[in-house]
Amino acid sequence: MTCDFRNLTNITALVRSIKACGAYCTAGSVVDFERGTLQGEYTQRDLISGFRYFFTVVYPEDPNSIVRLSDVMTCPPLAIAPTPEPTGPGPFSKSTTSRGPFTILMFAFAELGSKLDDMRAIFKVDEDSWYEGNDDNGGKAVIGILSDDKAKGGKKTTKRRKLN
Amino acid sequence: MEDDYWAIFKWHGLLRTAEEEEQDRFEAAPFVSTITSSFGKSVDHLLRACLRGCPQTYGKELDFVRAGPLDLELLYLRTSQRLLVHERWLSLDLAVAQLGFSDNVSEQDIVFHSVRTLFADALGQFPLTSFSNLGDKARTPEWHRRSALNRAEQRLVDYLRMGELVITPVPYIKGLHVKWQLDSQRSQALRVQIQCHSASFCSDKRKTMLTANDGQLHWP
Repeated sequence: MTCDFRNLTNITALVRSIKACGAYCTAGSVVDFERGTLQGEYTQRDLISGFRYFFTVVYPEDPNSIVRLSDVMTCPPLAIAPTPEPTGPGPFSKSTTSRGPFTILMFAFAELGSKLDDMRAIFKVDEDSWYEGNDDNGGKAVIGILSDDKAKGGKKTTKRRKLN
Repeated sequence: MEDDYWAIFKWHGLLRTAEEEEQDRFEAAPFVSTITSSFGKSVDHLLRACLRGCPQTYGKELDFVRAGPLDLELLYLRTSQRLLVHERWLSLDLAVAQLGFSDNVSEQDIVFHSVRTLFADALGQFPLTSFSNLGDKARTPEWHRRSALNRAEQRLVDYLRMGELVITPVPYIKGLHVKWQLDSQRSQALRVQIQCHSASFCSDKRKTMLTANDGQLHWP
C-alpha cells in the first residue's frame, strides 16, 4: 500500500480507551491514502481468543451521526508470526530476543510438522512426546520434544523407540 | 339515504371513510418479528437512527407490519407514540418498485432513498406544533421540520460515504483488523471513532447503538 501522508495534514485521529459493562471496548483510528481513495483502518490487539467481537465507527463531531456496525468475528488463537526472509547483502543482524531451548525446539517441531502432512499416520508413542510416522514410500520418522534439561544435555531420554 | 342518517351512523362509530378503514387495518396488522435480508436490516437500522437523531422523533417506537395489499406506507399513532411501517420497505425489489427506480440503481442508493422517504413521511405526520418554539424564533415550524429532514439526510450521506466495514482476524497479535473505504469528499476535518465490543457483553448494542451519542453514554 502506498501512503501519501502529505495529504493527511487536515485529518485528525481520535484515540481513546474505554471499558464498558465488562466488555473490552476501545476507540482509535488510523487513516491512510490508497490510490487516491481514503482508507480507514484500525487494529485491536490482545483480545481473548475464541471470543466474538464487533466494531462500531462514528463521526463523533456530530453526536447524532449514525453508527456503522461491522460483522461479528471470533478472535483467532495466537499464531507464531512468520520470520521474514533476509533480503539484500549480509551480514544479517541476529535477533536479540531471548528464547530458551525448549521454545526453539517447539518452533522447529512446528515447522517440521507441516512437512509431515502427507504421512498416513502420526501417533504418540510415549509420554515424552515422541511421535512416529510412516510416509507413502515406507520410510519412517521420529520427532521429539525435549524439556529444557534434556536439550541442554543434562538427562537423555531412554524411552526413544527403535526404528525398524 | 338522507345525510342525517349517515350522520347518525357516523356518530355511533358505524361508519368510516376509506382512509380511516385503511388506517384501522394497518394498525391491526401483525408485526414483522425478524428481519432477515441485509437490505431490510439496513433500512431498519438507518430509519431508527434517523428517529433517534431528531429531537422531535427521539424515543418513538418503530415496527414493521405485515399489511398485505394496503397502500399505506407509514402511520404514526399519536396515542402510543409508535410508528408503523409497511413491510414492503424491507424488500429490495418492492422498495425499487415503490420508489419508481430501474434495476440498475445500487442497493446502497435504494437504502438511502427508502429511509429518506420514510423519515420524511414520518416527519410529515408529526404535529407541526412539535416543531414550533425551537431555538430560532424567526423561523417557521415548517422550516424547522424541513431542516430536521435535511440534517437526517446529511447523516445518511456521511454514513454511506464511510463504506462497509471489513473485519479480518490477525492471529499474530490475537487481534482483529477493521478497514473501510472513505469517500474523498469526506476527507475535510475527518475524525472518526472506532469501538471494539465483545459480542457476548454488548450483543444488545448491535440493536441499540444507533448514533454516536449512544457510544458516548458508555464512556467513563
